[in-house]
Formats: sequence, structure tokens, C-alpha cells
Amino acid sequence: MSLELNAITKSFGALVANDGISLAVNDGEIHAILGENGAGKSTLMNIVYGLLQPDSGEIKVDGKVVTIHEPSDALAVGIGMVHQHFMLIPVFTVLENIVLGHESTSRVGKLKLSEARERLLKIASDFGFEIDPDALVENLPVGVQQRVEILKALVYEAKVLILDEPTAVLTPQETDELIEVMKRLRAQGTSIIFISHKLREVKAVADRITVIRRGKVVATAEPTATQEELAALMVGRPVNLMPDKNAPKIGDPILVVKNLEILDPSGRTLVSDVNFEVCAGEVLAIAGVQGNGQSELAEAMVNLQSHVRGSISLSGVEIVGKSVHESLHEGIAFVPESRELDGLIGSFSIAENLILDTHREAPYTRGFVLSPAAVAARGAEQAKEFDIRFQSIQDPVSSLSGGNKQKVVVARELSRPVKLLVASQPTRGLDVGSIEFVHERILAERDAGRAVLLFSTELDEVVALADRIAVMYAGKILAIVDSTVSREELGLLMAGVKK
Amino acid sequence: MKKTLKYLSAVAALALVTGVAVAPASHAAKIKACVVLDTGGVDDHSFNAGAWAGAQSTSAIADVSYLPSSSAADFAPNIKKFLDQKCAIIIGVGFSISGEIVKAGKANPGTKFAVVDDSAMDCNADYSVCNAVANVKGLTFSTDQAAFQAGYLAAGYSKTGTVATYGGAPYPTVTIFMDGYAKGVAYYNKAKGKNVKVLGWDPVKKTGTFVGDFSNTSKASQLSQGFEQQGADVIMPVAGGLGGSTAKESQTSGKSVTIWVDTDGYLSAPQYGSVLLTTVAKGLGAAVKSVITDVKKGTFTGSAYVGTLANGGVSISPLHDFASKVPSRLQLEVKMIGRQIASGSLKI
Amino acid sequence: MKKVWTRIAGSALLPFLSFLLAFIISGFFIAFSDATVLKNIGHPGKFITSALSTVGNAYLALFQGSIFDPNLTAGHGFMRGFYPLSETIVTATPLILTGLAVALAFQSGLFNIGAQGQFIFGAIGASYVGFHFTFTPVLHVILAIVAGVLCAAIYGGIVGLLKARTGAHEVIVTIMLNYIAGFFILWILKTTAFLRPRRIDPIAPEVNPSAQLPHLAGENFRLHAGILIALVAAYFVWWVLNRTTVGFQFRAVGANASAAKTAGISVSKVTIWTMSLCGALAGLGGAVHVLGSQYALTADIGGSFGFDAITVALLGRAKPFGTVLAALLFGALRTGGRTMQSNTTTPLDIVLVIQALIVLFIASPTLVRFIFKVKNLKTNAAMTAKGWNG
Repeated sequence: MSLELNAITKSFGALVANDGISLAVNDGEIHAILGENGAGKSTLMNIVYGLLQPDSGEIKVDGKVVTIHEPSDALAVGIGMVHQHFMLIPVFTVLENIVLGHESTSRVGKLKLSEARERLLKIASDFGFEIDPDALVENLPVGVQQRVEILKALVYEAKVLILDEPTAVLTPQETDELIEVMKRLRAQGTSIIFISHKLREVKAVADRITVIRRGKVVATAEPTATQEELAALMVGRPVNLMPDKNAPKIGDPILVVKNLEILDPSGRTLVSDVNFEVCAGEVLAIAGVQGNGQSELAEAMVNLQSHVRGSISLSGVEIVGKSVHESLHEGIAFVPESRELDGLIGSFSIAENLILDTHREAPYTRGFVLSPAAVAARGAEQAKEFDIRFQSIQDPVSSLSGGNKQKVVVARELSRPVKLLVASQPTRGLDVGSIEFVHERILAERDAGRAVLLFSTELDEVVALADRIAVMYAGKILAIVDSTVSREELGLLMAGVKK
Repeated sequence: MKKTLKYLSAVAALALVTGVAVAPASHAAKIKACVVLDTGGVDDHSFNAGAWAGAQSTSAIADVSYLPSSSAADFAPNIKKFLDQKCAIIIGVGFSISGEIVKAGKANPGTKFAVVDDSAMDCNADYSVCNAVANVKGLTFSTDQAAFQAGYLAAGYSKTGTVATYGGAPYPTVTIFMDGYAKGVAYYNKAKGKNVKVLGWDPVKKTGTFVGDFSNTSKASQLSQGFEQQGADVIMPVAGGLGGSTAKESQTSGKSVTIWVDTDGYLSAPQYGSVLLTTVAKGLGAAVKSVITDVKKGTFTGSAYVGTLANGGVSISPLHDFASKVPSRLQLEVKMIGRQIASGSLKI
Repeated sequence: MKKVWTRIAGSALLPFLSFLLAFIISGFFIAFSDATVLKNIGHPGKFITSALSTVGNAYLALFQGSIFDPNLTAGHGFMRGFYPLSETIVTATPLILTGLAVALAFQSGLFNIGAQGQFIFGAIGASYVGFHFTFTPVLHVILAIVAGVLCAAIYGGIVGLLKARTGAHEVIVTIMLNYIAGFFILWILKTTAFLRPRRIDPIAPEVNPSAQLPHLAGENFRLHAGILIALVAAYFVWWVLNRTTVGFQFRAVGANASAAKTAGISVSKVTIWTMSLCGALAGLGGAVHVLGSQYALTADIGGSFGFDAITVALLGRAKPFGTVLAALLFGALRTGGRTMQSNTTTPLDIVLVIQALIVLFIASPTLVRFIFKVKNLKTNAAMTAKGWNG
């Protein structure tokens, strides 16, 4: 089945999210749509799937114009979508999730699952999936859950499958498996629209690549293009994908973590047996698939976790048991994993966000009276140093782009005298330009003799920045390896396989 | 949006203009009688309703109006509102409004005032000296006299030898019923050499059982059930509208009968007629009516009105359905006691 | 300057439109609950004029009873016509303070349902010091107020402490503490310390004249210095929120508690402080109510000041000055309703309908937007939602 989009335009107020986008997906093709966050990829796909209505333009399926008002219309013409965040009910079985929304019942209202079961098993074997229809979704690995989503689309006869950032939640191994699945689907005649901003994957699987920037199609590229070429198209200027890294000048140990154990409020162990040290002038990256205890470990560094045993010492000062405020002022800069939830107060001004940690200190406060002028002055100063772009320093921070928001967080955290920088997923959701900035800043801190503890699920980022890599799996540090380790070995460690 | 607003403001303006134009003319011949209610509200089926009904019955000679009060904070402004409207008589309902009425009475000697259920005296700071105010009339009721009769009747009627009472809150206007009732039972015991017990009030210690307010029906039902379990077969609730809860309990369990208070329950709450032994009636409405009539006739004085068995201000209602179930001898004794109290030969 | 005005107009639009709608709909209630109007229902012409005149009379009385009544000027001079306005202010004064107690909590992301209980404790404290002691006038007023404020601040602080230490939800805790306060005052009024001599019903002695707040406009008006205290309190709340470190922390925790925590702000300290300060404000309301207009403590001294405060704070968008305006509006409706009931036959309860409708519309901006076809209506739905989820 072929899908054609003609001059799709969609605006939200003054913002034109899609500006006359045209593209064609051929029968049995994997068509990648590459673009930065906010380029308009998701808007476009939501239009195709019927979640949004375009202001103008038309959608053609096999040459015929179709109108899609809601997802059921899309399904009816053979368009299925797998969202980045799965739409599955964890406590239901695979089969129940698949029939959800299309339940057929007997006259007394009893679910008739036998037909659906046969159909599911047939399609699974046609496409070479191994799946247990009676397994509870919550017990399945993320990669398998994603396959359930794909199966769900296939069961309802999707001929064009939209995959929205499907690799964001996967381990490298699972990503490889997904790529295999996509190729198998293509072989069976299913067309795939693959949305991503990860150049390596796009190159590995796509037949054609459409690059979108600021709501417009800027180029259609072949997978043979280099990563640098694709990145330049995406950003609109040449990009340095691998930051230049100087040889490390390693000093004394700054952070020493011993026998650390983190429990949740009900007493369940989240993280245990964690031992490592980070020296001045060194980046230690904690790699691992999301959800293996990294978030908790990062928070424990500044005592945001309340049930911690063991020792965290910073230049000989014990951190465990101090308040968050005290921990920060011992010389830890902390860039939290979610800047929206934990890093910034959206309704506060940019200036106020820049002094969230130091608002008690002079010159922002005299006695206990705030000085708005001093706050604004400090904000302007930092904005200049960190190249934060805004209209007014008094605007709410929520009005900023993701990259500028992260700059606010980084600027604030580096404004205190710092011995250790803890950065958790510092480039998640950022555009390539901002990633470049954050990477350079992290390396600059390292080169200035600070210890850096980097938590990242992005393998490319880990390899590019780290001097040593610790891989976390199931709440434990599985191994600490040198940054020259092969990607394959790292991938195996992240999946919990230790040689 | 603009259009809608324009239209709306036009309607509003028209309404205001016509409103001013047709404002009602006053009826010069009638006097203006104004009632400030207590927090119970106009339809409490009890003393607010009774007082308001009394006022309404004078509509031939008076323009009557009332203001409800949601808390004690409303008393003063409500009185003030009626002063502004030049009411000839302002009647406050309930003893809790008494202080504000007395205050207003002293400040406005030209206006007449009355308080239902309080003697409306002007007292000094520590309440050791109290004087009557010339233009303020207190309307009080010796309900203990009729309740005494009811207590005697209850004791004589009881098969189990246990009777009960409870109040809404320990207000003097409530406890006076309970006190008279308990004393009536004691009088019966003394006269007959019996030992009928009274639950819910101790006339010596002046303590008893109370709901805590006049609206908690589930608590009232609980209390009634509790009394039944302790063997009481006559219950007198002194709690305004909550009396219905006890009457309902009497109907469902069949273990007790209820004595109503204030207005004859057989007439005002006929759905409970089958279980109402009698009512300790308080002539609120009649008292209010006579005050308004006095003002109209120019015979109003500030001297206190006390409703008694002698002047008919309090009474015990007919037995209705129970006339045949109560021994005629007991009925006669109750009547005799009433006469003795009225004549002063029997002191409570 | 122009920007400021647009902003004010922007945030006042929703309350204004809600207000307008509430009055229009209540107009129908007034018309259809009137016997004369219903009698004319068969004659469209008569029906409409009688309905309009009934509604018009009711609202005219509402205005006369709350702002200015020309009938009162006769023989007393023009200023006496403003007596209703002074009454509006007297009614609004405690409401401003309880409203601030709820608004401040909203700003810190807390839902303070407990203003009622805190108000009662403020009234108890102020009343006791007011009638039991004798001091020189100014000192006595100050001491009585301080006593009320302290009692209530501790009572509010308990909520903060429980939430900070044990995670108990402040909505549940404050509701329960309201019950406790309600029964506590019933009990304490029967103790010998509080019971008025020679009375057995629950009423305390009047506070001594030295503890009474001075009248502002002579003895003919009940207007007392409480309004000045309330306005200063409103300014104080604004100042604390916007110009002090604690206020910064309050707002930070209210807007995003986890970001505030990550930046080193102690959420539990903020919770305890906020609830104590809220208690203090509500308690100041109770103190001012007793010392300014009631003088004697009664079991129903709390009225519904603490509950109306929630509505007032919502209507005022949890901003100090918005809360002042909302409280004045409620005060006006209350006092005006009295005239409406006594001058026309429209019952006072219609005021509750108006209040409820205003809140209903404020809480459903989409509906207002739909009715008036306005875009970009500023809402505070997020604030209320946060309050509930705590």
C-alpha cells in the first residue's frame, strides 16, 4: 500500500508546525522521517493517524484521497501507529490488550477470545514473532511490549505502520532485533514510517529518508549519506557530532561511593552494592537501560532519596544524611534527569529559576527580603555566559525551548563553587545544537579539574564523553570498563550479560 | 461577545428601570411587624416556625416580614435592617438574640421590641443586676408546668417502669422541659409509692443526654434506640425537628411511645399520630400574636409575659388516639394536677 | 503601564463573566419563585414585565442593601446612605482574612480546608484575653489579637507538622480538625472559665471595652478597625510571597514541589511554615470578628467564614488583592441579600445560589468561553487541581 501526503499544513496559533509538507511512502518501503524535536514530525504523524486535523492538504492512500477524522478512520484505510509511550494496559494479558477496543462478545456479554487468539497466533507466525498470548504485559520486557503494539496494528490489518521514536526505550540489542522485525515486515509488503532523530538507526534500516526542519521538508536523502551530512540537514548548519576530547588529566579521587544501598519507602531494595570513585578531571559515565536504578543512584548523590545506606564521600566529607541544600553546597552540581519536573519551576521567571538554589544568599536576599533587581542582574549575567536565548529575563521559563531550559539548569548548577558535576540524562530530548553545547560544557568542567558523574542511556553520548564507563543492571554496577570498550560488549553488559 | 454584552446590559437596565417603577406602595393602615429568626430557619417545624406562624396570623392588622440568621453575627445587622425600615415592633426569636434586642431597645426607645423565649433583661457586666427595659417585652414560658403533667402521665402509662427524655442542646429553654418532666415522674412515684426511672435527665445535678444540635437525625435515632434498649417505653425528645426521629423509632420498633413538644404533634406531624402520647405545648404563636395585637391597639407594655398553665400559655394537648388506651383514672389525675399547678396549690 | 492593565483585565475577565452569568441565571430563579410572576404565566406580555420588575426589584434591593441606600439619608445626611457599604465591609472583614488563609495555602500548593477551625481558635484566644483581663486600651487589643493569632497558628501548624512528618493529607486533616474545633468551642463555652455568669447556654462574657476594636466612622456605623488590619494583612501576604525568601520558597513549592526540593528547598519546612501562617491569618480573622463586631463568643461564632473562604480564595485567584475583592463581593451579597429579603419577597437564599453559580462558572472556564465566545480566558484550574492532589 502506498501513502502520499500532499502539501499538509497545520498551525497552532502563530506557530506553523507543518508548512506544506509533501511526501510519498511507497509500497513495502521503510521511510524514515528525520528531524529535531519540535521540527513537526509528531504533528505530521498525528495528522496521518487522525489525532489532529490539517488546516489544508490531502492524504492519499493507493492514489485515492481519504479523510481521516479519528484513529478508527486511519485503521480502516490500513494505517496503524505504535506510539513512543505504549498504549497497553499492564495488568491485562497480551491477548486482552490486542482485543481491547474491538471486543466481540457473546449474547450474554461474555468475551469471545478464541477467534482473536487464533488470529493473533496466525499473524505472529506469519511474521515470525514468538509471543505468549496469555502472558501479562507488565511481566514482558520493553522490547516485547513494543512487539505487542506492532502485532496489535497488524491484527487490524495495518498496511502502513507508523513507528514513533521506537528505539528510545530499547537496549541496543532490542534495537537490533527491532530493525530485524522491520525488515521482515517490509519483506511481507508492509510499509513503515520510521520516525527518529538517531542517525545511526535511520541509516541502518531506511530505504529513503525525508528530513524535516521547522515544519518544512528540507531534503530527501538516501541512507548512503553520512551521519554528518544528515545532521547538517537536520540542524541547518554543520555539526560536530563527536566532541573533541583532550587527554584526561586525572587528579585525586573526589567522589568515593562505598557499599551504597537504596531502598524504596516500603523497604524494597532498588540499588545495592554500589562501589566506585570519580577523580578530578575525569568523566565516569553510568550507562544502562532506563529503569535499572540509575535515576535513584543519581538522586542519592544529593540526598533526594530518603532511604540510603552506605557512604558517599565528597573530598572526605560524608554526604549521606545531609539535607539536599547542604549536599549541594558541599560542592555538587546536580542536573536532574527531568528538567521539566525536577529542574525548573515552569511558572517562575528565568531569573528566578537561576537562583532557585541560592535565593537565600546575598546579594539576592538582604536579611530575608528578596532583591528583584539583584536577581535580574544575576540572571542577565548568567544568560550571557551560557548563551540562553529569551525575550525577557522575567518571562516564565516554560516559554523557553528545551535547549534553553537545559541551559538554565546547567547555568544554575554551575554557578556555585563545584567539585563534582552530577548530570543525569543531560541531553534527553534536546536538539543537536543544544546537545553539542551541553557536551562541550561537560568536557570543559572535566578539563577544569572537576569530577563528572554522567548518567546516560544514550550509548553514543556515553562513548563520546566518558573516560570510564560503569554499566548498571538491576540495581547493581555490573562492571566498570574503559571507554575504549566495543559497543557490542557494552550492549551485552546493558542487557545484563557478563562475560 | 460584544453583541451579547450589549444585549445583556440592555436587559439589565430595563429590569432596573421597571423595577423602580413598580416598587410596591405601603399600606398605611397596617402596622409593620418584623421578626428576626434564630439560626434554625423559618421552617424548623418548631419555635421559629411557631413564632412566624403567630406573626402571620395577624396579617389583617399588620404587614409582617422576617429575616433569617445564619449565625449570631447576623442578629445585629438584621435588627438594624428592620430599624431602618421603621418597623413598629421587632420580635427576636430565641434567647440567643436577647442581648442584641435589649441593646437595640435601649438605643431606640421609640421602637417596640419583644424576645421569644427569654426574659430580655438588661444586665450589668457580671450579670448580678438585671433590669427590665420599658420598650422590650420578654416572652417566656413555664413549660415545666405542662411537662410536669406529661411526666406524671408518662410514669403512669409506662409498663416497664422506665421513661426517658433527651434534649437538642443544654439551653435553658430545653432543660426546663426535661426538668418538669423528671419532677412529674418523681411526683408520681411519691404519690403511688412506685419507682419509675427517668433516663436522660437528672433534676438534681441538672445534667442529661443531649444530641449536641437540632439537626443530627441519626444521633437522635441512636439515642432513642439506646433508651428503648434500656427499657424505656415513653420518650420525650426536646429537640425541635428531631422529635420526628424518635417518633419514627417508636413506630418501627413498637417498643415505645413519644411525647411531642412545642405544638400539638398530632396536628402538625400527623404521620406520627399513632405513637404520640401527648404534646407539651408552648403557645409561642399565641404570645407573638397578642404582642402584635397590643402594639396595634396601643396597649403594649414592656412587662414580661410568662406563659403558664393558668393563662393558657403552656398546656398539655389532648391524648387523641391514646384517649382510649390511657386509664381514665390516670387521665383525671393529670387534669387535677394541672388545675392544682394553675391555682398555685401545687408547687413544682 | 498598558501591559499591566491588559493583564489585570485578562485575569478579571473570567470572574466578571461568571458573575454576569450567575446574575442572569439567578434572575430566572427569582422570577420563577415569585407568586405574582407565576400567576401571570398565561399572559406573555404581563409575564415578562412582572418577571423583569421582580428581578429588577430584587437586584435593586441587593444594591441598596450593600452599597448605598438613598432612603437612609433622610434626616441623617448624605453619608448615612452609605451605611449598607459599611455593613458590607464589616461582613467582609473576617472573610478577607480567612480567604487569605486559603489563598496563601494555594500558593504553596496546599488546600487549606481548615480555615474554619483556625478561625474558631483565633476567636477563642482573643475572646478569653478580651474578657478575662483588663489592660490599657491599645495594649489590650494587641494582646487579645496576639493570643488569637497564636492559638490559631499552632492549630494550623499541627496540620503542617502532620503532613511534613507523616505525609497525612492536609485536606483530610483540616476537615477533621474543623470538627474538633467545632466541638471544642461547644465544650469550652460550658466550662466555668468561659460561661457567662448566671447563664447555662453556651455564651461567653463580652470582651471588655478596652479590648474592643475602635469604630472608624462614629457610633452610628459598626465599621471598625478590623478592615484596616485585614488590608494590612493582605498587603503583608503579598509582600511575603513576592518579596521575601520564605515567600519565594512557598511559591516554589507550590508551583513545583519536586523542582524546589531538587534545588535544596525543604518542602517539609515550607509546609509547616505555610500552615502556621495560614492558621495565623484565619485566627486573626476570628480575633477581629470577636473584638470588632461580636464581642461575645458563641458556639456558632465561626459562621461559615472558613468555608466561604475557599470560594473567596478561588474567586480571587489565590492572589491577596483578588481575595480582598472577592471577600468584599461576598460581603456585599450577604448584606444586600438581607435588604432583598425584607424589601422584596425574594428569599435571602438566592444569594447562596448566586455565590454557587459564580464558583461553578469560575471552575468551568470552557463553558464560559463557549457562552461568550471568548478565547484565551485565563484560568486557575491548575491551581485547584493541585490543591486536591496535594
